[in-house]
Amino acid sequence: MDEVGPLPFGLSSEELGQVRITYTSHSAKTGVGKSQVVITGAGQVRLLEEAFLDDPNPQTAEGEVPPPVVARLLDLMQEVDFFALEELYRGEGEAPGAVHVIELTLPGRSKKVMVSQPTTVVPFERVAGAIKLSAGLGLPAALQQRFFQRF
Amino acid sequence: MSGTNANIGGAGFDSVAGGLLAEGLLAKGQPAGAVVHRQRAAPVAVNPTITAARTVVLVKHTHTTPARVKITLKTSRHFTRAGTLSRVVTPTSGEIKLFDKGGAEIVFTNSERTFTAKELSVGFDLFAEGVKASGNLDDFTLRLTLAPGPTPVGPPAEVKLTAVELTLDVSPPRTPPAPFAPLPQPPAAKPPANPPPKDKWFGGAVVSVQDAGNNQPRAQLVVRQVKPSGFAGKLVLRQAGVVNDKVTSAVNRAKLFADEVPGPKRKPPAKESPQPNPFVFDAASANSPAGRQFFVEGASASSALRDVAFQLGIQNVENDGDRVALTVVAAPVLAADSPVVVVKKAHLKLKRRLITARASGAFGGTGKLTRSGAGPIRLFDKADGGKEVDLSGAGRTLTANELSNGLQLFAESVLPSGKSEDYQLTLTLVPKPTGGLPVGAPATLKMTAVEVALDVAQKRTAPGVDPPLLSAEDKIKKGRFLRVQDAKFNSARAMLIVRKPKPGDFKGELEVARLKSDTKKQVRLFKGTEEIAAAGQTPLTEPVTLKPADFAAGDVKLFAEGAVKSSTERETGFTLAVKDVEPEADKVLMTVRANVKAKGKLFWNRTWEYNTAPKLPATASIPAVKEFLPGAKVEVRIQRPGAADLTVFQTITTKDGAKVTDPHGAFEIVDLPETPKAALRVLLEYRDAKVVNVQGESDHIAQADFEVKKDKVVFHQFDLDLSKLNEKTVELDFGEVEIKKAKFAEMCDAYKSIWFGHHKLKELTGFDADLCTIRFPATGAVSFQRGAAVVILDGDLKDRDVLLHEYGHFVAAKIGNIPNHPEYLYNDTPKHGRDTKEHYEAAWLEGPATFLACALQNDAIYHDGYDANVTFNLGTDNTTVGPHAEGSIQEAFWRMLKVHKLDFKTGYWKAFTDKSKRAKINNVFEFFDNWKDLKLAGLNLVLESFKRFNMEFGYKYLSGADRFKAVAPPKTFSEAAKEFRTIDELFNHFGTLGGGTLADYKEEFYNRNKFFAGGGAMDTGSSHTNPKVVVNNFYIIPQRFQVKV
Repeated sequence: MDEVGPLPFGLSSEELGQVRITYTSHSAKTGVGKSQVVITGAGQVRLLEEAFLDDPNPQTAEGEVPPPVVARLLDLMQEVDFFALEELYRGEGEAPGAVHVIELTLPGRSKKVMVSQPTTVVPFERVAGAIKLSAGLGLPAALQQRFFQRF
Repeated sequence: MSGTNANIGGAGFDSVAGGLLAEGLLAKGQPAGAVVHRQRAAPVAVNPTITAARTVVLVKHTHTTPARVKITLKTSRHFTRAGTLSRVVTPTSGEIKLFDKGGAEIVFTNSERTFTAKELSVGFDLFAEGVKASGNLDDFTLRLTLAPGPTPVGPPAEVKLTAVELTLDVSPPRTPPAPFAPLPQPPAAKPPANPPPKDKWFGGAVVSVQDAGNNQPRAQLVVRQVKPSGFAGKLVLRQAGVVNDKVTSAVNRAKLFADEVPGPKRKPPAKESPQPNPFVFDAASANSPAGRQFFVEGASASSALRDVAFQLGIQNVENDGDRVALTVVAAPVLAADSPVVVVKKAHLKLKRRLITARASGAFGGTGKLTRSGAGPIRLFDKADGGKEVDLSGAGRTLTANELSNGLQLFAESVLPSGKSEDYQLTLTLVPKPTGGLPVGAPATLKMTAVEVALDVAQKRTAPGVDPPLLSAEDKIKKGRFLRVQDAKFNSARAMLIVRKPKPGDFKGELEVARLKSDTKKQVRLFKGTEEIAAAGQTPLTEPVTLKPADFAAGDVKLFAEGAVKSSTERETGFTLAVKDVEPEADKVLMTVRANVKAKGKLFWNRTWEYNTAPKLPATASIPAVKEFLPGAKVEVRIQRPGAADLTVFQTITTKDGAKVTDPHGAFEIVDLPETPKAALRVLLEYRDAKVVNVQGESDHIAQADFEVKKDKVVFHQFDLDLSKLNEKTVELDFGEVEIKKAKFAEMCDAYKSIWFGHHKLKELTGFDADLCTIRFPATGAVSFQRGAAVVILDGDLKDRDVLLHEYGHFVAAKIGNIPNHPEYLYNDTPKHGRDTKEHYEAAWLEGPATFLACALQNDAIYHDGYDANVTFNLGTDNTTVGPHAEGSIQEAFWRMLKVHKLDFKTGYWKAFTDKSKRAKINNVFEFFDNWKDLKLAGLNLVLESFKRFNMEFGYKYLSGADRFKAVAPPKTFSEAAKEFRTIDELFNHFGTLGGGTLADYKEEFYNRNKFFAGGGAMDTGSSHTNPKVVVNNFYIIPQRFQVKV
């Protein structure tokens, strides 16, 4: 394992492998499934996209990022005090928008934050941007595809 | 001047016998029988008399014979003594000689001459002849004095004479600018015939018989100032014959004029008449050192040398004051209708120039016509065709007949002269070997072959690039086509090029003018600097005259534009004239066409099927379907004259009809000028700011021909195929014009989808929806409606169902049926599907939108296929989730429409839009209530549809002041107090109708309070399956109900 340095949230390097960061976009379009990025503490990156709701055969792509990338992502989440964010930020648009969800699972605790679009929650967006960037490092093609359009 | 009978004496006694006196008295009428008293009378004086026939005595020239002036000396009566005649002269008296009747000169001694008494008594005649002109009038005096004696004598008698000298000079015709050269005065005696005398009388001047073209020069006569200059009489100039050096009677072989240049040859020409013969005029008119000039031309040839004289005399006194001789001869004449021959052109039939060679008068000899110079002109014996006349070598001999009748030759040239007048013809008359009179000087005719050309250019291929020229043949046979210039100066002008004439030293002027036959003034000319039409430019006044200086820099350019439409091809054009020579030396024919009326139909190929789009990311296509673009704004852009870029010429809209099935997509461009390049800029903007437009949501595409810019109407520009547009085109059908830019075609399709929704809705309901803007691209995961816009994902452009679904939201918003939305987070689950549970309001937002999309298309299938793969079938999905699911709502509506055949307009649409019973419809049950309250037909069928999709029962929510307060034990449920302790209590009281379950009730309680304004906060750990209330909080209370007819 690459040197990850000191970890946030009181995590030990051994616990890093149990960390899971999920970023999901639920479309506001009826019947359209979710798009999701999952980054584990071990550096695994998985993209998933459903063509429709509860698609049993979603498109997936997998890659890896170095654990220090995950560590830095966690640093950011600590920096924005992710666990202190509200569970739901209501939408401010005229029509219901997509719902973006970031969920952080740590050993023994987890936190899910939902933001209904097009509301902008700066700490949330910082983390979301970092997740997308990190995923792009592991799966460069993802940056070039329409995957992140849903985000 | 003394009287002619000066001093005849007074009455008195003389020595004559009284009888004689008496007789004399009687003779004067005294009565007879009178007594005569003889008495000695006082002696009567005898008076001398001098009587002169006239007092003017002409000075005699050696060659003139003026009559001498008779002067008679006499006494008044018999006288017996002598008398003395004295010449009283001064230095200015001139000289007058006196002769007796025998011709002997009277000799004066010391200026005196004595005459005997006898001579005087009978009268003595003297004859005066001028020798030298007097310096003054009456400056020469003769005085007769009688010798004194017994018989008294009267005073001396005098007569005063003036010696007058007239001079007439003649100069042969000159060649200007050489001065006239007067012939010398004649010698004292006639000279021998050889060498021929050259003086003015024995030699005389030679003048030619004038020809019809007035080419023969005139001789000059000069009446010199009369001596003495104070002479004020009238002079006479008389033309007479001459025989043997003597002047005879009047003749008219010559004509006398006041001017040297014949009237017709002057600029401007003038009428002119010869002076009469004789011509009388005041001597004063010659009273200057230069005298008075006259000019003489021949009228008919002399029959002998010097057979014509002009005499100068004094009217009623003497004709022969002076005289000159003339010989009138035939002259060679070379006349041409113009000395300029315009070089032949294959495309024009230029007439050959007519040249006539002849003698100006009767002539019995021959002529010789020769040529010189290297000029290219050729002569022919006929105006058209014929044989070439060979003038090489010695030239051609002309017979007397040809000279008399005139030999006609015809000149043409296929090449220009190397320099002006490089071709010269000379006609020389050859007199008969013997007895022939002189002839006029050889006639020459200098000619120039001039090449001029008027070219016309075709259209420019590019600004700044010289346009190609029409060939010499095409400019006549095909002509140049122009378009009628419009008010905005969109039509190009044609370049006319007037070539610099050859030879370069040609001094003539050229003229450019519209064809005379063009009375409609179909074309007009502009300066060479005005190729590009603009306001303030003034057409040139025709003809446009071009002088040699105008060609200093080479060819001259002019520009022509169309003004009035031609009726036939080549009806107008311009001629190039060589001024005063050839009115049509070259020409260019033109046709003015109206501008083009163009049409076409705009379409794109749709290769996707709305309802069977493939699963992502496949892009399988279907056979192309032509989709025509309705009602869109199109800028017709053209390359204006002189411009490199395209600019807007006309803004048009594509055709559209009231119904979606009406023909649409056609466009028409009126008055399209002929342009080298044209393009259509298609802006996705329905006419009059209605129906639909497409704007950028962000600066997304910035291509030269394709732009998606934030808040700007999206456009795509592409060139029109102008290959069918030619100079003759007045109607142009572009046919079906394809929009090929793929992404733009998708946008067109999106535009048309909204157009379809608008028109179809209007067809079905009469509702004319406001402008709906498609904003592109949406960022994020969804297309959505925002105010008057639908914001569309790139992946949704091709999904008509999605677009019409969003249009459904747009329409609902316009109607005012957008409830406060609570997001798709029912049961805290962000999933959102046809059969997922959502808040009533959310389901109500989506269900009608999807239903409208399907209803408008009359198609139960709803498909979202390009950024997802979602398909609904409103007829078969059978979503029985109930009022929390949009699927149930849209399927119930579909059933009402398609199964129960409830009229869309008077049923669904009425219930959806009528605000008379309620200001807003927030959920499907309010829709039912509106239908019911409006008493619309088929309520039972509506209910049947509701039941079928599990919407017979639902929940209303007691909120605001109707909320219930959570209380702690021992308190319990109290409807009156609006208090409750547990959710079970609420369920039992409000949730059991029609088989309602506690789980449903808890779900309703949880979601309504969590996500809606006024909801009570729940305790930690609450969920939709286990909502936990907090004492003293107020909560929204679900209340189950049943829809009924």
